[in-house]
Amino acid sequence: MSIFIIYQNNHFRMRLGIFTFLLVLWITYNSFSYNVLGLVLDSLSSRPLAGATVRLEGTNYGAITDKNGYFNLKKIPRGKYYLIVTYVGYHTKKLLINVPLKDTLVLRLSSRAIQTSELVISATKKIQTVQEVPVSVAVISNDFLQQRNYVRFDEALRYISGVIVNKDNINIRGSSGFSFGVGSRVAYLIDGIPMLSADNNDAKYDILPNEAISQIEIVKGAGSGLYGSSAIGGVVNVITREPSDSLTYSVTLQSGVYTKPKYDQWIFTDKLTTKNIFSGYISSNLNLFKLFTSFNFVNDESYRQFDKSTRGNVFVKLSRGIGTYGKITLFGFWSSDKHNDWVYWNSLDSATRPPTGTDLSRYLISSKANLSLNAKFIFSEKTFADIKSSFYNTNIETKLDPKNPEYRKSTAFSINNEIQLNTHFGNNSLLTYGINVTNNWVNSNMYGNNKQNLFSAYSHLELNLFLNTTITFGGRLDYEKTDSAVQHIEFSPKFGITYFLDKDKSIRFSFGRGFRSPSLAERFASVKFGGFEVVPNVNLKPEVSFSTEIGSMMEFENAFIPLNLDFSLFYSYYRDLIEPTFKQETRPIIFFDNITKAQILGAEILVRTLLFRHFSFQIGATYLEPKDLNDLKVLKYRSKFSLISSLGVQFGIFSTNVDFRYISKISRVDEMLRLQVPDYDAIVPIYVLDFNFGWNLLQLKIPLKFQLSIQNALDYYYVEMVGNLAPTRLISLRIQYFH
Amino acid sequence: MDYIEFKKICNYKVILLLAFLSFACQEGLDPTQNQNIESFIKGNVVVISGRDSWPPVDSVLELRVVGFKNYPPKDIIGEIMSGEAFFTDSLPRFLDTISFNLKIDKPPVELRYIVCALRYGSILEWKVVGVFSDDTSYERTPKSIFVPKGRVIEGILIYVDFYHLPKQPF
Repeated sequence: MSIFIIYQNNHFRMRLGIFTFLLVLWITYNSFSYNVLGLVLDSLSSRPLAGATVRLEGTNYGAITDKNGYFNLKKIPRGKYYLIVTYVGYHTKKLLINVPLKDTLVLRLSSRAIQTSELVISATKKIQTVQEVPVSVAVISNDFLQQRNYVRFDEALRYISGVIVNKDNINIRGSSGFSFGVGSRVAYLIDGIPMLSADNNDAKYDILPNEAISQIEIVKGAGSGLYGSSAIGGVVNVITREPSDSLTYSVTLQSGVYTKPKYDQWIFTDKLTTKNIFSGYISSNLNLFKLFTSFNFVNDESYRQFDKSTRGNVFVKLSRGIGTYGKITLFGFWSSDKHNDWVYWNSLDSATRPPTGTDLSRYLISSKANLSLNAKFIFSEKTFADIKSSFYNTNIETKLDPKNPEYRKSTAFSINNEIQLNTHFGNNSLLTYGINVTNNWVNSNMYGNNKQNLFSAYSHLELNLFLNTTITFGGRLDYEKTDSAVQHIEFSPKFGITYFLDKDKSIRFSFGRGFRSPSLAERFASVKFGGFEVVPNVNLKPEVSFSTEIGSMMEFENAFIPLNLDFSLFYSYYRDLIEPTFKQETRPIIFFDNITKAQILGAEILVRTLLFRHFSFQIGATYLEPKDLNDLKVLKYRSKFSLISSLGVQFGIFSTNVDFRYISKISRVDEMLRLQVPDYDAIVPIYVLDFNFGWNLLQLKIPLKFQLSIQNALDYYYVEMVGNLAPTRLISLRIQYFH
Repeated sequence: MDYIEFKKICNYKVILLLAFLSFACQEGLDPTQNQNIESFIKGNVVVISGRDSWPPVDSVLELRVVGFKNYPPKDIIGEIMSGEAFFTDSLPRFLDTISFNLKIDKPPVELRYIVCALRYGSILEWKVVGVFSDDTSYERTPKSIFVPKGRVIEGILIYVDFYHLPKQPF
């Protein structure tokens, strides 16, 4: 019996031992992780493609190919995955792999006739190609900026279909009119971090040197479901350049002259006025971290009298990897400028001069400073975290005696903190969720000492369904608390669907809500400026929009002429729109008020093609039917039709780009402007033609680039903002030395 | 790219460039464009006290509609002479309703005081018999009108009650 028991115990132990061994073996087997090595090449020339994006679908694993085209995905658990490779100008490649792999993967990508596969992050807060997103997204590349002698990057936004720039005000598909530069109806982000000033909620488009920009993404339509307040008409997200693995640097000198106006009445000096820029960047891997820094200094004598400005910008970015896939990035910028301080012309017949009686010694100094931190790391194979924290300060001050009624000073601070998580559920769904807290406060003789706090939580789910369909839906809850103003809660839902007919043709539909909390300036402003007096209105409510869009992107690469076509129909409804409103009919006293209900129905088409294999050509047209629902007339300050086109050719070391834009005449403005703005109704359609000629001597082993640019080549005279002559013809030459 | 192809491309480029230029053949704003664009205000003088209420013929020598930029006018003759006021030709008299057409030479302009004026004596002897107003009281507080450039504003009604003349500005 005892022997039997001993036998049974031994037998049990043996079975337990075998079971434990098998369990450990199974766990060990499954917990092994492997490296996936690969090489990405051009299918025709076998040239390695550096900078291609490689990712495993449904996971957080991804990599970028190095300068020799190699990538290494580390610590990948055993299993089957879809590997996706994307590269600008090439067809996306997707293939099933079984990890572990026996050999290095060799992936050959075939080039696209037309470059349309831009990767964007702004539409859904995750990296996707433009074709995959359910909303209209436009992209401005660094190349586009480099091939033009722009000083500020918003000059490039003027060549995006459906976007109209009205001085510092970006108007996407008619969402914005004229608001004295306060209360942007477009969310403005740098690397996904909000950068609207805390006092005016306006976007400063001159805070970055152009060298610091990798690409600019423009999302059209309401986007508060992801980005909260201000994304009522769309989103502009500036993606800055990543530091490089090896030492690169560049020094650029640019000098330009404004040609003399055609009309004697507008000539205010015997000399030609100039616009000069000195800029550069350096990037390197310093082992402890990678560094990218750039700067520019701009001295603009202007095409108008007493309109000189000087500006300096510095941008610094440091990044360091954490673990295999994590990364921490610290960036910051500082910008300072000084310019003469007047707004409206004297009159149309003296449009290049300030109003009679302007104090010509008066000028305005402003500065902006930012420090931002972004940490990305993986919690698990399926969950990825993105933490953003930022501090943004803006200052303006007029150099006047503080007792002068037109003395203005404002110091504003904005702190923004956001935690975003992305969790994959299987290969077909991704949940993006997060919380966001923004604190704004201002110390100002114009806006008082006031605080504004915004607390938000958001979530949206992306489902990749059968039949090549992707559905995204979700929403965002925002709570605003501002000193002496009514607290409010906003819920902004969003929904989108993308259906691929085949790999080159997709249909999209989206619906979203947008809202904008009034800025501290709109609520509390008490200021005299430019002949206007602004008085406060603390009872302002948020303005709200609902927008929907149906669109399609189609590519006909094998047609006689390769063609890419993007078409969309859209409708937006706005309520409680905040407009500057005249308090009296006889004096220029204004306050901001929720006065307008409006709707905008529109259509947009963008055609991109390649002619004779060397000409890239694109033309985009936008038609709007903007209606003020209060009086059933055309909405003020909106143009109904706009058209942009660009023609580019590369011939050896030479390149040429010709850009043209047309904007129909604004048919309605606020006639009360007559009280302060002479010839406020001098408005014409806009026709602007820019020529750009480039010579890149790198092929001759000389690291120099020359760029000649003629902006407003026809010297066409127009206004973007009433009573303000837009820039006249500017001829400039840029010389860049790079390594 | 061979020479023939490049030449073809250049020809194409020239055509596109000409298309651009033809689009942009206008020169845009012109410093003189806002000068000499006239506007008009049109309406009727309505004699609500009736045709029989007109004063005697020898004291109704002339009738005009006058629009002043300022209210009250500081120096009526001076303002008329310096272009600060606009006036119609002499209007028909002794009717119930008299239509008028007032030309504004240099719009945009805000008219703060629009009146029907009657000359009862010498060239300087005028009195206001009607005021453009929403106010029905004796005060007849004037109503302002903004006249944009190149526009015709119609439907201006000036009521005249010879038994209750409005307050005189002088």
